[in-house]
Amino acid sequence: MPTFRHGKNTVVLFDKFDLSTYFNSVSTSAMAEAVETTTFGSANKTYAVGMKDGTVSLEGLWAGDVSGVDEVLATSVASATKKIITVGSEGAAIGRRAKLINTDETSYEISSAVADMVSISAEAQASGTVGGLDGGVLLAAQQSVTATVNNTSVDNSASSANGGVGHLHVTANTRNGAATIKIQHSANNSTWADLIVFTATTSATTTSERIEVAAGTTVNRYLRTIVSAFAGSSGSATITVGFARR
Amino acid sequence: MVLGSYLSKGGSMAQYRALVGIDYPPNKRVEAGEIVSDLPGDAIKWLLEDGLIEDSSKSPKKVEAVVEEKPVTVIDLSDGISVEEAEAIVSSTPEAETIISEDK
Repeated sequence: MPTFRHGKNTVVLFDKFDLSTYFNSVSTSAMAEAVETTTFGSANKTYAVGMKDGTVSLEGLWAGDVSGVDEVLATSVASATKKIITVGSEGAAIGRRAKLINTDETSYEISSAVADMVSISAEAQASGTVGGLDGGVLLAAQQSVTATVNNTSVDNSASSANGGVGHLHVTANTRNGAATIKIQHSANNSTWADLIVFTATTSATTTSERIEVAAGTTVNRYLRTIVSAFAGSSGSATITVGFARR
Repeated sequence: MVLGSYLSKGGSMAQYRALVGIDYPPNKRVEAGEIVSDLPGDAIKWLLEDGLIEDSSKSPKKVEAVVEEKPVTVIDLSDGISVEEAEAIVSSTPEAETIISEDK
């Protein structure tokens, strides 16, 4: 019997911000062009798969707080810097599936009605030469880190051979020291090799990063996130990490 | 088998150079570029196949021979340079090879 998920636990990470509590609807769309290849003599149409594409649509409630949804989305429209979005429709837990999207925010709309809450909607266009919208898994999910840690691994049942992409969102950080966060892979769930080493986070600073693993790279069966170095003596960092195989 | 017994029987501990950082049991870590001889046996095969470690007896990478060029000082006596001036030039560049030309 399939395991169905309720949408109430969906998480939306937008760069270094966790905007989950502002949205009440999110949809990701992956598309591929179908280019017609039908020729004379054919009784049925034939097609070839062309260019891939993807979009993200967000809807929710407006709020004007610092680092809140309006401040983030209003400054992101037409920004030259790509926006890193991770959508976890299964909720925030290690191993749950997520969409990892490299985007340009293309629209932001605020709607006010006399008898309703002020609402928002935004659209983002996936963009990437290899792939802008990838399906992966969460390796850390809104996890408050106070020391070095090796997270539980995620078993893909088999290795893959075409690289992938990793996302890191540090959405809160009160730690008075730097942290080194990595994605590791393993063939035996015992010996682990570094796959992605994110740029070390700096003291009390939120951040986000997207790192591609080159096509043709073997990504072994098991994946995990580790915080391998955590300087400082007090405070914590809240991290979400995702990885998508290709 | 203890190490001494193993080596006395002609064995040798295989050494590998890590090409990425690797964590392995029990709570050990090798950084990229470091040589290690105690990787778990069941991990060596896939680490080699993935190109994450290499046999440390191999050169880490091909290094092209570098031919160091020696500086050359050319003194053309046809320019009217005196012997004293030429000696001064030569003594100021002791590391250079000196070529004296008298071409007209």
